[in-house]
Amino acid sequence: MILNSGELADRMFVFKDGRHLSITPPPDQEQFRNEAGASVDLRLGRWFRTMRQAKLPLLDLTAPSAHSSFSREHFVPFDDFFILHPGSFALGITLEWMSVPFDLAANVTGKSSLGRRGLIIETAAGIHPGFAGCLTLELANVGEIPLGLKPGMSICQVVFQSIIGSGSKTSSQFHGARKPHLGKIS
Amino acid sequence: MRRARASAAYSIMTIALWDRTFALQRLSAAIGVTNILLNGDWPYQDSKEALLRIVRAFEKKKSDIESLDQDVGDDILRPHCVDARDLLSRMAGLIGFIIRSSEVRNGFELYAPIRAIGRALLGVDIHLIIGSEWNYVPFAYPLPISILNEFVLVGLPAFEASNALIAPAAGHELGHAVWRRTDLRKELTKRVDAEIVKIVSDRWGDFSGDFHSGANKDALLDDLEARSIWAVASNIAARQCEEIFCDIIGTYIFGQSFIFALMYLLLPDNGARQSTAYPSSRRRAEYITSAAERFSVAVPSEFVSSFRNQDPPDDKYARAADDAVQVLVPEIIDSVANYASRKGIVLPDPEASRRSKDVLKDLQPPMNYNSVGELLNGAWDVRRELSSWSIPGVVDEGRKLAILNDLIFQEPGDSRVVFAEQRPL
Repeated sequence: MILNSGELADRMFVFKDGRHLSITPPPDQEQFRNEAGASVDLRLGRWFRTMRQAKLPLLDLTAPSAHSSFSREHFVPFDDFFILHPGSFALGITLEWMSVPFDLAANVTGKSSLGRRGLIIETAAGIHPGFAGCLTLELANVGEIPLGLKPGMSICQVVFQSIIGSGSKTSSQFHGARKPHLGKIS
Repeated sequence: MRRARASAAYSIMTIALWDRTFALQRLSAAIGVTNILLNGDWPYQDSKEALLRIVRAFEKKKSDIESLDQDVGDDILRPHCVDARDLLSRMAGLIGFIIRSSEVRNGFELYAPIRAIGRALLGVDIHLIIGSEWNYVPFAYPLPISILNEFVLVGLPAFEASNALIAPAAGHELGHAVWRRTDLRKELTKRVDAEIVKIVSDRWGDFSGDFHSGANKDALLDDLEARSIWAVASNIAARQCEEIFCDIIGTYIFGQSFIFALMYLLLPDNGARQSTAYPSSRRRAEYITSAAERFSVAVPSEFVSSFRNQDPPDDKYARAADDAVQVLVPEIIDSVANYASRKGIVLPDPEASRRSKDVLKDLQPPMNYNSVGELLNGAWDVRRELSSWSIPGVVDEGRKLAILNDLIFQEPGDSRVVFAEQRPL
């Protein structure tokens, strides 16, 4: 069952027990309750990761390798732009840190208004119960003109669903990242 | 004779010409490199502003030399060229520091809260640069030169650049800026002089041989000739007072987390004294403990005993300095408490620290705290109980530390503060 804005607001601002959904920094409570949506908007953070195109001839997707060998980090201040050129790919991160209770899961989707301008946002589409951290965003410019991404801009939305039955309290490997993370190839 | 004179004249002209040519070439090279550096990625405006000022200083010096007549005398040209060489030499280290402040290994998220503390202590016109140093001397970094007068440089060790738990070390560095930019230094230096004179007078039998025959032990403070002798001890004591002042400011701002950061960076203690400019580590720990007790900051029971006892220095002036400082510590504590509270710095609240700890353990970045010290105190409490911190799916303590670190850096909980403080480059 998908949670509506009232239920999401209760999870974020009322419940303080194991059902609490923590989003830091949180959205404005009053504004959030007044919106009739069924998702939480998240903003773009300041860390990015790009591929070192001039360094590696090939990225072997079957071999684990350290991030630093084929990608590099960038930090962009608020009010400055990260420019994503046509055909380019970069990892971004959400400004918000989420702690998802064990009775919720979520899906992340890009914003259609951004997609129509050429920005495709893909993430690890499913967020598991018990996830904690910022979300790594896969950003691609499939348009024809460079796109200016500004930290703090609204970048994606998360739709939450309740879990039927009690889930196990083991969690994903992506705990705690505040920077874009490549994850492990398994 | 005539040939010798001509040769000498030729030689002087050549050296002067080379001085000018080389100085201009070196300044041009420095301007070129610095301008390239300016085009790099800057996480915050202050670092770039510092670099801009440095390149302007290079350009000014170059312009000064270029504006001299071609036949200007060596006595005028040479000081300009020497100045240019000294400027380049002094700036090279600073430029390195500034560049390292932009390395992505740094925790840039620390910048806003540390700058907020710096501005509270020193005023809103303060600029801050947080660097990560390969040649790191714990808790010591020189002040920048006059063209960067309102800049505060905070150096953290390069290997620890992304370790949020040692952020309280910045409190000590801010202390240096307070010491040198306010009247506190002058006030305490007067007290240092008085105390040293008292000790020398009390131990006149040990010291009298070093003074001129007419020296009166009861009038040493006003005896200029005698001052040059006892000033040796006074200078050592003043340096120590500065270091203690900085430790106590760090303790006031960050509370217990400052003490843990100090232990992290200084332990294990090898029993050797770094220099007479510092008290022995053991005494330093004792002084911090006195301040912590005054500020109601809990001190880890093993703190002082982590550092070995040391014999007093052999040199009687260094010994006098140590003893004078010990007497002055309560006044330094008072002085820090008065200054910091006057500037609106609040002592970390133990209850808020506990709340931060609980929130962190629940894998959430804390929001409800008054000072970054409360966040870090809570974080250190989690760090100390790392093995018992239960995170579903995570067993490895290194991974837990990384998660804790990210939770701390996720500060500020209130990103509106950050949005408001950022300016476009």
